[in-house]
Amino acid sequence: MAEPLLRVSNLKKYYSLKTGKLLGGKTTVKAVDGISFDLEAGQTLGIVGESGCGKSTMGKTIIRLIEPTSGIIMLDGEDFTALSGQDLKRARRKMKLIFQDPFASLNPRMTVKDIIGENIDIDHTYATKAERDDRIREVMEQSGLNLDYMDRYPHEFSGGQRQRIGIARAIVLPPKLVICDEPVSALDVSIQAKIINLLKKLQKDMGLSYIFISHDLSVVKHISDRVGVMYLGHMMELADKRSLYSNPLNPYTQALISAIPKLPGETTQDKIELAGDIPSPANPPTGCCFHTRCPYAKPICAEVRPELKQVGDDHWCACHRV
Amino acid sequence: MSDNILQVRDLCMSFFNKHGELPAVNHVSFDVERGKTLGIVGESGCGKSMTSLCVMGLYPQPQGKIVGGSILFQGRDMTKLPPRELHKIRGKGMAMIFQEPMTSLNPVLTIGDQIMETIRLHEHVSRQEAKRRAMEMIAMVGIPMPEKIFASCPHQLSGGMRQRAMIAMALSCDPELLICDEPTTALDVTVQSQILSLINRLKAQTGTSVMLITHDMGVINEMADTVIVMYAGQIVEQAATADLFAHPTHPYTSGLIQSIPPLNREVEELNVIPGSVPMLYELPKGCLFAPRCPYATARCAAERPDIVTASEGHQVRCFRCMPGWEGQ
Repeated sequence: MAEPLLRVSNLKKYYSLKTGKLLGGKTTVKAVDGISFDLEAGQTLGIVGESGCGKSTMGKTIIRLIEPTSGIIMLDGEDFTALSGQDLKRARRKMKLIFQDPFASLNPRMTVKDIIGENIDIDHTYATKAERDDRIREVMEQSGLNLDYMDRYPHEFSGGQRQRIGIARAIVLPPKLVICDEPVSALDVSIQAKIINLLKKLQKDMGLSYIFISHDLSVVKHISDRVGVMYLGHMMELADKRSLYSNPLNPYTQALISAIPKLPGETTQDKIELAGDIPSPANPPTGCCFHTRCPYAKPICAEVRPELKQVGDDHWCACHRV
Repeated sequence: MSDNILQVRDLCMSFFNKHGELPAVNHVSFDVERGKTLGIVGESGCGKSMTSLCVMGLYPQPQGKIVGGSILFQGRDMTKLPPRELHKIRGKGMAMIFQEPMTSLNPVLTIGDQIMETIRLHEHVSRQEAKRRAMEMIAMVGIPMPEKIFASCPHQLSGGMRQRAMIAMALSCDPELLICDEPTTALDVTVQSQILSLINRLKAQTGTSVMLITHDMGVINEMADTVIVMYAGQIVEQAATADLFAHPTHPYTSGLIQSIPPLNREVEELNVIPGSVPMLYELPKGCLFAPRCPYATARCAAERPDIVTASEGHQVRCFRCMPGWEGQ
C-alpha cells in the first residue's frame, strides 16, 4: 500500500498553566492528546467537535505554527517534525492554512494583489513582474475574484470575498494539503454554499487534500471523505463519512448528530440530550473524557481510558461499549 | 382576532445618513399568536434583528426612526408610547434574549443581582421576596447549584450557563412575549439543543409567546409554528412552518433551503444564490431580489411586487404568484 500523503501519529500538544499557588504550582492543559490519523492524497478529512476540543490547535500543530509537544507528522514520506531551517521552509510549501476569521487574517495595509503575491514573493518563483501579476490574476480567477479588485484593500470586501482572498493566497503556490480551520463558520448560508463549492472545485482541479475543521456537522458531511470526531483533545471516532453518519458508534458522536437542528424529511431519531457543558481541558475527567456526560457511563469508564480501536472497515472508535 | 398577542402592521423603520433615507424595515406586517412561536429567518442585513428591536422600542436612535406603521402589543401602540411607558413594558410585558450573553450581561454584577434588579424594577416586592423568586427562576432554567450561580459573575459561567441566566432574567417577570434574537448562534450544537428544548419547555409551562430570530433553517423547522422569511428589509414569504418547507414559493426561500448541505442524502454541488444581499443605499428599483433571481423578467426589474396570498395562510412577495404571470 502506498504511503498516505499525511500520517499523524500520537500528536500531542500540552500547555502548562501557572495555578497561582505558592512554589510554582502548575497544571497541564492537554489541548491535543494523542491524535493519530492518515490522510490520502486528494481526500478530505473532516474534523468536528465543539469549542475547546482542540481541533484548531491540532490544525495549527500539524503545520507547526504551534510546535507539537510530541508525536510524528509524516508528510509525503518525510518526517515533518524533524525538519528545521531551509528544509522546514521547503516542506511547509506543501501545506497551507485557511483561517476562520476573514477579517482578522488579512493584513489591512496590503492590497489584495500583494496579499496573494506574498507567497510567491518569498520563494521568488517568477522571473519578471509581469509573470508575477499573471500568476496572481490566474488564481484570482480560479477563486472567483473580480480582477478589477487587484489593487483594493481587504476592508473593501465582504466576508465571502475575503474568504476567497484567503483561498487564493493558499493556492498561489500550489500546495498538496490545505488545512481549513472553520472557513465558512462566519458566513451566511448562501455565501457558505459558494465557498464550499469553490473548495470542492479546487480540490478536483488541483488534486488537493483538505483537513476541514468545523463544528458544523452537515457542512463536514458534505465536503469530507472521512470524518474524525474530537472531544477534549482526544479522537473519539474516526470513520468513513457514510458509516459515521449512518452508524455512529461513540455515544458522543450519536449525541452530536442528534443535536443538529434538522430540516423536514431528515431522519429524526429521538434527541439525545447531553447534560452539562464540556469539562474544562485544564481539569479533564479521569478515564474516558466523555464519561461525565455519557448516558451509558459505567464504573470502568471513569477509570480506564478507552483506546481508539478498529471496529469495522475504516471505522475506528474509542469507547468501552464497542 | 383577539388572540394575537402582538400585531405589527406596515412597520417602516429607516436610517437617515449621508445616503439619504435607508429603509431597514420596509412595510413589515405580522402577528404573533398567544402561546405560539413565530420564526423570523434571513441572512445578515435582512432586517430581522431590526424588526425585533423596533418591537422592543430599542432601535438605534436618533439615526433610526420609525416612519410608519404600528406595533400593537396588549392593545397599545408601542410606536406612540412615551419612553416611561415603554420602560414599564420592556422586561415585564415583553422580554428579550440576545445572541451574545457575555456582552448583554453586566460584567460587574452577580447573576443574582441582575435578575433581582429586573424583578424589583417591575414589581413592588421586598429584597427577600425578589431573591426567592430569582432563585426559583435560576432553578427553573435547569442550572445546577442555584446558590452558587446566584453569587457568580458572568465571566465565571460557560456560554450555555450565561444563556440560561439570560433566559431566567427574561422570564423573571412572566412576560407575555419572549423575543429571542439568535439565542443559540454563539453556542455549541449540544448546548444549542439544550437551550432550544429549554425554551420550548418554558413556553409550554408559562404559556408565553415566542418570537425567534435566527438564520438557521433547521432551528426554524424544529421550533416555529409560523415563519417569516425576510430579505433586504421586506417580508418575502410568510407561512405555517410545515407549509413553508413543503412548498417554498419565493425563489429566495427555496434558494436558502437548497444552499444548506443536506444530511440525509449526497449532493455533488450545493445550490447557490448568485450575487449578495444589496446594501440599503443601493437597493434595486424593482423587486429587491430581482438581480439574484433565476426567474426575473423585465417586469421584476421595473416594479416592486406586493405581498399576495398564494394559498390559505401562505403569503409571498413575488410576481410569479400573481395572475398574469406566464412563466417565462
